[in-house]
Amino acid sequence: MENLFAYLLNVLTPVNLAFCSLGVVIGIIVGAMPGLTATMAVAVLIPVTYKLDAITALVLLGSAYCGALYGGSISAILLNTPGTPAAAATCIEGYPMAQKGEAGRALGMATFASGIGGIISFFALLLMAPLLSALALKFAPSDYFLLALLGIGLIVSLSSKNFVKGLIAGVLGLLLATVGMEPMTGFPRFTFGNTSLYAGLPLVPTLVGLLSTSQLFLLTEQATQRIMKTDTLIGRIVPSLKELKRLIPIFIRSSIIGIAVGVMPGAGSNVATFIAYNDAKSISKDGAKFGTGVVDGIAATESCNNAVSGGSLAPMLTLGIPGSNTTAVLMGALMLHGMAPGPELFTKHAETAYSFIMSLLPANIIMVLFGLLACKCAVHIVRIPNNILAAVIMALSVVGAFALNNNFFNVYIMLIFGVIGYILKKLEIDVVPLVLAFILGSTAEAGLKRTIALAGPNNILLYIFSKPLSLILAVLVLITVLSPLVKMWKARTAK
Amino acid sequence: MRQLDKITGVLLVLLSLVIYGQASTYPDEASNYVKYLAVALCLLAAVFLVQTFRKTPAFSWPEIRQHFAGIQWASLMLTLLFTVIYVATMKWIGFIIGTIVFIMVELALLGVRKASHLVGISVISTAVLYVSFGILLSIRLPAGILDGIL
Repeated sequence: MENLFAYLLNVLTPVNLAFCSLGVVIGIIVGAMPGLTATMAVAVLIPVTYKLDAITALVLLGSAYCGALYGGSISAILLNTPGTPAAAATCIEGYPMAQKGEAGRALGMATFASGIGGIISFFALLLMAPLLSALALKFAPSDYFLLALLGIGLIVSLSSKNFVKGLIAGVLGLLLATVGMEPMTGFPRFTFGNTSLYAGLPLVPTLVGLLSTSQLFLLTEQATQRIMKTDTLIGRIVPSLKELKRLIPIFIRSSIIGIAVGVMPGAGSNVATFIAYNDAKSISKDGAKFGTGVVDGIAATESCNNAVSGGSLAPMLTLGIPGSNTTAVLMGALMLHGMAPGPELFTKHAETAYSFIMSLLPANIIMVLFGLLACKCAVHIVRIPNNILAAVIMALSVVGAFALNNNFFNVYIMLIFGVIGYILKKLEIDVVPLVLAFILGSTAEAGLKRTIALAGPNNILLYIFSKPLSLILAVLVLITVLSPLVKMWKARTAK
Repeated sequence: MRQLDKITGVLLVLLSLVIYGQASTYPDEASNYVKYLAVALCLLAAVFLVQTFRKTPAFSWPEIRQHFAGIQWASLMLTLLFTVIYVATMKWIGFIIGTIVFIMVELALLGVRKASHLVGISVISTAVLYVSFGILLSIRLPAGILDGIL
């Protein structure tokens, strides 16, 4: 308890609070722009953190994450266009409310709900992190291999529209992870004589390319200056205490849904928010009016949305399995600062890890304060043409990738993977499983090869069955991979 | 887009063969894992092709052309080209001049026509980037032509 207070004090220094505020503001602005994602907000800030102290760096990035998750609701409410995919469900009630002249009330509720969801998920993360990291200390090499497969399997089955395409993306990601020196023999694979690739594809430029630069190419392919028009008047913003009290059950239930879904890699906040919306519809006294502009719906979707942050950070920090794209990029940031996610993070780097977790509390409070200010000028934020932002963010991405190691190699990697990410999106191959498989690929390969070395090539199954944790993970992997196939087979036989 | 899926499937099969071929030039210990993944990719691509051809046996180029209609290819290609030129020439031209020119060109490509906007946005953005990275974060950005002046 005393340690937690000390970690909180680490975060409450003037410098860290300043960077926290900066992160929240940037996150809200980027999140509010349709076409720009929370992942992009975090990705473009990573190079900025390179010279910062690790705690300050993570505070900045975590705050940007929280801000961006909330920011998506601004354009969802004012323009019926979600600023981030996670805000899609907010459009359902938010836009009708704006059309009825209640835009301010909708925005205010979105702000408070996001803050409440974020704070509830902060407490959940604080509880989950030590438990999960204690579990991770017991992992054998086979467990790491199976956990990597489980993470990839979950993301493929939960996030991909086509299961086979999702598996293909997963295998492509695993193949990308084989670039560089083989873990046991050190033999260079797919380096083609380039010594910069001996350590493998650099994580941050690859992720920025696949997730952020590819998105910028998608924005440029339309080549028109799109200015979103809105004449919506904002009006009163801050919800009454009575209304907030009435919505407590919805805040709590939706936050729990967000945390639970956030823990599962690939499930994502889009899925979580629609589940929370349906749940709120069933318990609200105005459930029948949902869809016509009911504030309860916004309370559900936005508290769920921000609660996903804590949920998705838990497996990333403790097990090295990111719960979402944005946490995958955050993982890259941790590695950039010399820290590997997993049990070691909470032993060797306990101060940094817990300070980062504690920073989510002030980040969510600051987000509510800046969010209320942002509501007043929300109309102006969403009118910034995103084509202008695309040009500026492209330049920022180039500079950022260069700044990582002061060389242009990372910039070219970012551009190449930007093109690859763009092509994959055009071919409708989901990039999310590819990204996760790429991140987990080296863990999977190293775990598998160590298991073979320990057990012998002919006794792998026996080795796995002899360990309870490995057996449980193996069964979970089988369930994850087989259940979509069973569903497909059932659907076909029903036809 | 089923027609596109057919091309995707074929490309993936070819990719898996290339990867397998390349991995075969490595020693066994280094290549086995990659080969298994390449085989898995080939099998999945084959399953995907079978799935796609079962749903839509006929191949139709017009459908594929329709899928890509509306994309401003010139804008996209030029964006990529200018970004590569920007990166390749930054060492000699320098960060400041290169970035101002790049942002101006990009904005013009993306439909910004007012000269004041083109100049204003590019100069202010470059200044913010230079102050953030070059001064506050002490990153050595290429000075290029302005070497000696800055």
